[in-house]
Amino acid sequence: MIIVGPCSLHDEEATLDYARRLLEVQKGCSEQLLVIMRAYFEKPRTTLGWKGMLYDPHLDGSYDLDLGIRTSREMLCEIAEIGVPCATEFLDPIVPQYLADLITWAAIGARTTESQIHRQMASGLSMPIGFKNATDGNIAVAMDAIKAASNPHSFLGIDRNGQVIVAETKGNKYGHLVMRGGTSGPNYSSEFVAFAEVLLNKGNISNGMVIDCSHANSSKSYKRQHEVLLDVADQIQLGNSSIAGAMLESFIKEGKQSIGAAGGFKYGTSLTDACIGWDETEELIGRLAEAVKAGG
Amino acid sequence: MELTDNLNIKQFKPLTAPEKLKADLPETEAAAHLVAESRRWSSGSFAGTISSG
Repeated sequence: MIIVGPCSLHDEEATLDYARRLLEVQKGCSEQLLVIMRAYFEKPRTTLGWKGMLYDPHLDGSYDLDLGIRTSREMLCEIAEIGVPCATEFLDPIVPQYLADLITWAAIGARTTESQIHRQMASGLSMPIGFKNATDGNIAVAMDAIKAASNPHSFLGIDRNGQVIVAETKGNKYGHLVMRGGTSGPNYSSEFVAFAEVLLNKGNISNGMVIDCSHANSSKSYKRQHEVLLDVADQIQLGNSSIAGAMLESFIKEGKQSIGAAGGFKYGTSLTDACIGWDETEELIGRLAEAVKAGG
Repeated sequence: MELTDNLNIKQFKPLTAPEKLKADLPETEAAAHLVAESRRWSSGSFAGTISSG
């Protein structure tokens, strides 16, 4: 499985253009890979910044959340109609009631994996949930999260009608680890993967892991995602079966742009973290599919 | 009486309920099938891949 797409979505035309391109790629590797598009609408910020389309669809600090949630759902419906499954990060525990029916795979981010609220939320979600290792690289926090979310919980939330309720969950047995590197450095190499396998095994967690080629695994340099993905592909080709997926931050054009930059918005270019461009994306997905075929 | 809560809230704004939004933008049968199928693939790809031996 490859989870690939922009760091965040902000432009409907470019988003749907990207989804159509992914569909074509998926058709060429459907025996080896499931291609899931990143459709991230909520962006956790280290301090301040644009919080994503769901919060601020006008990109101007006006925070029209009602429109933001509507636009987010509209985009998910359109991507699904194209035939591409979507992944997202759930940040606010209310949001799943609006969007979760259209999500194939979801992440709990490095900053929230330790949060009881997010572990409880994950225990009630209907899709596989990837818990990222902590920002300092700590894997144990994500393992605790996987265990916590696999059990039933009761917590405060809203139902479909917006009524405040107590949600009683069954537990999510498809929680798994997402290796994203940390302040101590990347953790995608075979030594780190083997170490994670030992820890997961010791912790009686049988689900494999996803390697995030971006973030601290690329030392926050989008161009390094290439070498990370190639390394992951090599591991899979050599027979590793615990790596179940990889994640890439990619858009139509490489790099990133700033909100309010002179000259207006550049088409198909990320507004948050820098991404690799389309040609490189296609090449890397092809390499991963080849590795799965050879290793399988 | 002196106010002691919501001191830092400027305004509460209403938000469309999930059910209403889903009625406006429903998940189609094809979309539901895509999501269910891809979730099964995704779950199956990592379930039990860490060996216990």
